[in-house]
Amino acid sequence: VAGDVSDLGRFAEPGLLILTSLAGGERHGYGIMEDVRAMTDIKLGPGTLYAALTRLQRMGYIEATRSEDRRRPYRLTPTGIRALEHQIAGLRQLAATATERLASL
Amino acid sequence: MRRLLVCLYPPTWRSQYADEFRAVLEQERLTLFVVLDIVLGAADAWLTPAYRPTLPRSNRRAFRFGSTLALVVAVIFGELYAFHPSPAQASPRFPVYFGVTRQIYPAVTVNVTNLGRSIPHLTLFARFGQWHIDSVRTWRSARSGPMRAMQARALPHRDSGEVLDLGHLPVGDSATVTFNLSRNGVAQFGPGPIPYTVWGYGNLRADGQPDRSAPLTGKPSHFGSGSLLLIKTQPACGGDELTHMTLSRYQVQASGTVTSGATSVLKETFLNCGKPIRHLILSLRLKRWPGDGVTHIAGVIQDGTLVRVRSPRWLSGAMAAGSVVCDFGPLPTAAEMRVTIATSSDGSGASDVLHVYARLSPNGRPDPKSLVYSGADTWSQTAP
Repeated sequence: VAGDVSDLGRFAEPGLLILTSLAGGERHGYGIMEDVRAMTDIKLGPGTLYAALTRLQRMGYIEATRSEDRRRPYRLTPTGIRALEHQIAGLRQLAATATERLASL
Repeated sequence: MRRLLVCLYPPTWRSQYADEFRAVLEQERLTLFVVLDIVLGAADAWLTPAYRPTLPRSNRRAFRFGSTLALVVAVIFGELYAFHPSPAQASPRFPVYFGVTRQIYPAVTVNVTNLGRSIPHLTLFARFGQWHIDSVRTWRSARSGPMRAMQARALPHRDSGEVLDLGHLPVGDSATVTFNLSRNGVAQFGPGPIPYTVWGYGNLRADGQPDRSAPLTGKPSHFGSGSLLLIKTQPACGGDELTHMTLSRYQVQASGTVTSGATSVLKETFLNCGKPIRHLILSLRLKRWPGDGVTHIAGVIQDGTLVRVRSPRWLSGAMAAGSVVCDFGPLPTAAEMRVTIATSSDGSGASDVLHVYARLSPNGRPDPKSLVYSGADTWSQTAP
């Protein structure tokens, strides 16, 4: 499968959150943390953020852009976009199944 | 602090991310959660092959060797720390305690009688490492035969946690361990996993006679006495025979003068044809005034129930039916008394423990109003 966030292992969830954040535009590390907190109320620690960030970069899902200062923004790559789409489709399918089953209870 | 946290990461990682990571940390309040998260993130980076520093082959070998050595040492020390029992933890499940409060008791006799099961070893040790144990002699005899030396060895001075292996004791056999000890402390005795213990102290031989070869020596400044309890199976009645022997010997220091008291040996035998008794502890603590003598108390256990409290001397006690009131008789020179009697009917733990406390009235009798019993719920069934 082209792009599977589950390859990130224990960083799959932080990876998905980062990809979702970057789907809204370029962001640097602290910006991603703030965006994730605003979206989901989940506080990503710096250690977790960069462990997931470095993995996503190595997998080619994200790339760094030109640095403004010390803070380096990241953005989604086409591979990252497909990975996010694939993951969202899976989640959507899961949500549909859960909704259907809940309705039959 | 932030600089130190960044330094936790591998150099390769830092060359790529240190600046931006530091920028993130400068905007983040350092809480315990954040620090822990960074430490874990750094550990993750070190475990990631892409950031792991490359070492020359020889260094890698040294690193592997060092890591393995550190792991082995950690495991060994961790095991020792976690599982090696301290002397106090290694006590048998139902330890027998007796204590000495002053420097006295140069000889101790422990008698173990087998009631039909293997007794793999006898454990003796000092709880606080304050006993001086030496001149250990171990004797073993057939039930009706003469005592003979089984082995002779000495425990190191001031040692604790020593295990004396008595080997397998056939049914009806008995073993006696004698050794010298001095100094303050509390000693524990227990014969390994099966707590069949018959114990005593204070120059008593298994035949109930004082051991003249090991008289009390030194400079005793405190009352001394001993008791020996023997439990023998009596197949004829399907129960046990209890023999309680007491040695009375005391020396009292009053106004700088040491007064020697008389020595007496008293032997009582009770037949218990009910439920076999696995264990019995009798202890008596009595506050004494100078000039006080010796006080004994003996409990009789039948079918796991205390049925009689008897005093061989001036204590006289009997348990009234349906109650645990004991008349301990006159104690002319004592101010208060505490009695603890414990039994075990299953051999693995104390089934019943009775504590009696009483203040003594001027006539030496326990003040009925001061009698306090505790742990006596199961002691209500009494018989004369």
